[in-house]
Amino acid sequence: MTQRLKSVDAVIIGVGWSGSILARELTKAGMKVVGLERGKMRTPENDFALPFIRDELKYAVRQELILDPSLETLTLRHAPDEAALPLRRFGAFMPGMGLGGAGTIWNGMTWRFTPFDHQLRSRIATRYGHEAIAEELTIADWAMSYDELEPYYERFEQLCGTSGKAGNLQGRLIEGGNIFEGARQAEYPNPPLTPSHGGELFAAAAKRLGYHPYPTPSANLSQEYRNPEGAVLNPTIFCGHCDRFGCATNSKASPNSTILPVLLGDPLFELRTDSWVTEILHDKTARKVTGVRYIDTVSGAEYEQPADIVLLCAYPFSNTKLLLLSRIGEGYDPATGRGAVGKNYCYQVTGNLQVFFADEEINPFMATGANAMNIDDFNGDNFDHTGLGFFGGALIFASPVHGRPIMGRLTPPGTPRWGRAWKEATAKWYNHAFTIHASGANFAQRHNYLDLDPTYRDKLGRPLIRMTYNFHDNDRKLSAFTTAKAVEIAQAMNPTILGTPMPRRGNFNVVPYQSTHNTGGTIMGADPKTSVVNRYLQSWHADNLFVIGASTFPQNPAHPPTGAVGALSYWAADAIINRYLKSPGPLA
Amino acid sequence: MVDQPIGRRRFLKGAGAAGTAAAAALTGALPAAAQQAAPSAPAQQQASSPARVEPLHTLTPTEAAFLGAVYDTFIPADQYSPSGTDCGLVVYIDRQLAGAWGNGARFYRSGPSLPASPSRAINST
Repeated sequence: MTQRLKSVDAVIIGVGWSGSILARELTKAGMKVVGLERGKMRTPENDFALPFIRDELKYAVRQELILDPSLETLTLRHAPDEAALPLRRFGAFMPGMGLGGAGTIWNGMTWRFTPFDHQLRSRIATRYGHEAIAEELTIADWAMSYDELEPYYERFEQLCGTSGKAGNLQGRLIEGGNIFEGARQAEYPNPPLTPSHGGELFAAAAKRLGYHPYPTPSANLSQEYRNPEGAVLNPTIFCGHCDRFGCATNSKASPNSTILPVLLGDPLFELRTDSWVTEILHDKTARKVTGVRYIDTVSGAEYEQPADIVLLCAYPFSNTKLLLLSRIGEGYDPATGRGAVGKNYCYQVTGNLQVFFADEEINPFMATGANAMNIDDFNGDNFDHTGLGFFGGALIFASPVHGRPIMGRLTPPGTPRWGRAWKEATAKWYNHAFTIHASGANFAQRHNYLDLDPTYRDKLGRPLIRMTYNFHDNDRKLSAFTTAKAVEIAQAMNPTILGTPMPRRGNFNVVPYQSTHNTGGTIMGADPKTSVVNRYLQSWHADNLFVIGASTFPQNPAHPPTGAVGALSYWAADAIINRYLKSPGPLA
Repeated sequence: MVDQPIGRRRFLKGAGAAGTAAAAALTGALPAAAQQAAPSAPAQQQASSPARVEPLHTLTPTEAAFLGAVYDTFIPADQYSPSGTDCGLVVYIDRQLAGAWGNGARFYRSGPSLPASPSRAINST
């Protein structure tokens, strides 16, 4: 028996970064908003407190704050002709769960995408010709330019108190910042963090080679900061517990630390946790959504929450799944290229190698998740791709991100993985090693997509998302090239021991952790036939449904995605308040 | 800090010795086979510790003996640490298996269960 609740102005599905920002902006505009979060209530004072939050086994290894696979997971196959199997635990990536979502457990890297990223297909075509883009690459331009999104990138940086250094201020290039970034109107809200010693070694070598190192734009703050919402964040203590943890010192910007404290006190906002949305209700003739159906996972009771506007703000897998289950839009078929829901699922093509210095004290335990030194010299189209056989590039960066006792023990190649020799190596090298990463873009590929699995089901009995995904020619060449560049920089650092370069080769391996930058499935675009949402992130099929998050990226650039997720959230909120409410209907 | 009567280093050394003694007591949980398999901890520690038996919750004596041998191979006693069994690993794993983790918490268990290639190993049970 479904209980029908009183209608509200807007209902939000998923209260992470996007959901929190949308809720805050809409309530500020006077709307009554309900936020439905299927995970638990989480506050920094209750849930991220010392000493228990430093339990590496519980949080990092056993993934306490990650989506519980026994409730919902997904299946994977490498190609459409394979049978998909369920991920019984998460490995390569870790979707968040609970109030704050993945925004609670991120590392804090707060990049913008570049002007090139926003106009990927047309810029490649302009420089190299349309015919240079392989047919199976289903890459597309974003539905808005970098310059259009620029003020919204800035708003998200102000919310986070991002600590960094501008490299392009209103067109003026600044040494020490990222000179390849799009023009910024303003400097970062806070100065960059003090670099780690590993970062310094990397930056010095990169500079000697003629590259342009700059510090990570970090949501782990360099100094005390009061954000525009009035929330106060502390300077980081470099404790090395960012990724997979909540922040014990309130120095990592997350929905929980920057916006939810204000939002939860707003009478116009009502948060319901343990509320798992099962369907978006849809009136096809009217081309409107009417609300959502959800289950209270504590009582088992089912509710219908009517709303004038529905905001789908969950993780890309859930955004895609809810549209498919609710039959809003047409599912993507790689055989015909028809349909758009589930299309252009992308990931991150990560390569790396470790470096060991007998005479340098690296102190990996003094670290944050976003305190590397980086170069963009081999990102995007910042280098000539003629004859390389691939497009796109990688962000190359280095620093320890933690030196935790279980997962922070680097040992040189050839070290046994157990026994006396392993113990000797881990004791000898613990303080003398770090990793250089090449975080590569992942271009959309015709056969990489999401749909509903025919066999495996979630806790509520609904099909799991089936991921059909593998690395393809562009990815493997990109990874080989950019990892080789990382090796050159490593050699220039003159380490005692050079680790084994690890570019991505062969099949996508879902076991080792690589990145939680999962994108696509509900992509933005200018054409309803090839995209799910328009440039205002409004559904082509129901004008009062907006889909917000990394699921709208047409492909995944090299820079980490959270800055763009935040920017798109402010962009969509602006479109809803200043365009849609004034004239409800299709905005594009 | 400087005024403290017990220096940090001295304190840690003392705590380490106490920890080793406590861990040695736990080896009482192990059957004789496991204790023989383990490269034995210094004899005087064994002798000075009361032989307190930790009941096992999930492991059979044979399994405990096997795991003791495995852990002492993975983690032999040396200048860096006591042996795996002296660190209490057999009892620790026994308790983990008895709890939520050992009972499949946070693990997707719906069938069918099919074999997987190494790159999809996390998919198989």
